[in-house]
Amino acid sequence: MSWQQILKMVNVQSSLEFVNSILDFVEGPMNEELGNDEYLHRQGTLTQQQAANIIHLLKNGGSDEYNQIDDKEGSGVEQVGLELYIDDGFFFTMATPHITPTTANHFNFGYVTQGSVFDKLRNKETTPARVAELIQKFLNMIGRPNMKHGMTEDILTEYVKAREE
Amino acid sequence: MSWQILLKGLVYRNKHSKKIYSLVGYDMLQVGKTTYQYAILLDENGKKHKIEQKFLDKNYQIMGEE
Repeated sequence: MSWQQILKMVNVQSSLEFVNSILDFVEGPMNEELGNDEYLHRQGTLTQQQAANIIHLLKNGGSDEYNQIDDKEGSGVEQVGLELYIDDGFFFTMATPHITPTTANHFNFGYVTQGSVFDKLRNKETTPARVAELIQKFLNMIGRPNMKHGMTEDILTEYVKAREE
Repeated sequence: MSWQILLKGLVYRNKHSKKIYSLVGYDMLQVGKTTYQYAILLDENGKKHKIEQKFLDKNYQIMGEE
């Protein structure tokens, strides 16, 4: 085995740990603070190659008219599609092709919070700063720290103020 | 004619932020074995937003038609 092959193998292995750490962050601290009266779902186990493809899409996936990342075709990589929307809510979904119901490595992840996060803001169960901090941590993790979105502290503060008027 | 086409063009207001949006369509999102429906709303700056149906029903009010 060449050193290039060894390096590639190590990278792919660390990809799996990296993607799982992102999903654990979304399922853990984010879900706890932002709530999940919409849906939180993880089905199947990621393969190393799928994880490597997810990282590729997180870094290079294209956007569309309302999603910051919308790459259902996989932008040249196979086996995964990914969607991220952060404006009036947080939508983060990804899926591998569902060939048959028994496909061993079919993976599906979905987390959407829209009702619960705004309910919590209105009820003062969380704050714009706390929500914005978690969103920024997520963006840092996926390698897009400067991505424009609609859940910044300023925008959320404006939302809460409008509610109080 | 589907009910989605009948509703297209409705103007909504977010009850909390007071922002005005117009309904331009619907889309579906599949998560696991369940498919969710969300509306696509256009804000006053021309930006599109995804609003889940139950969030729309709870937090937006219909102001009229365009």
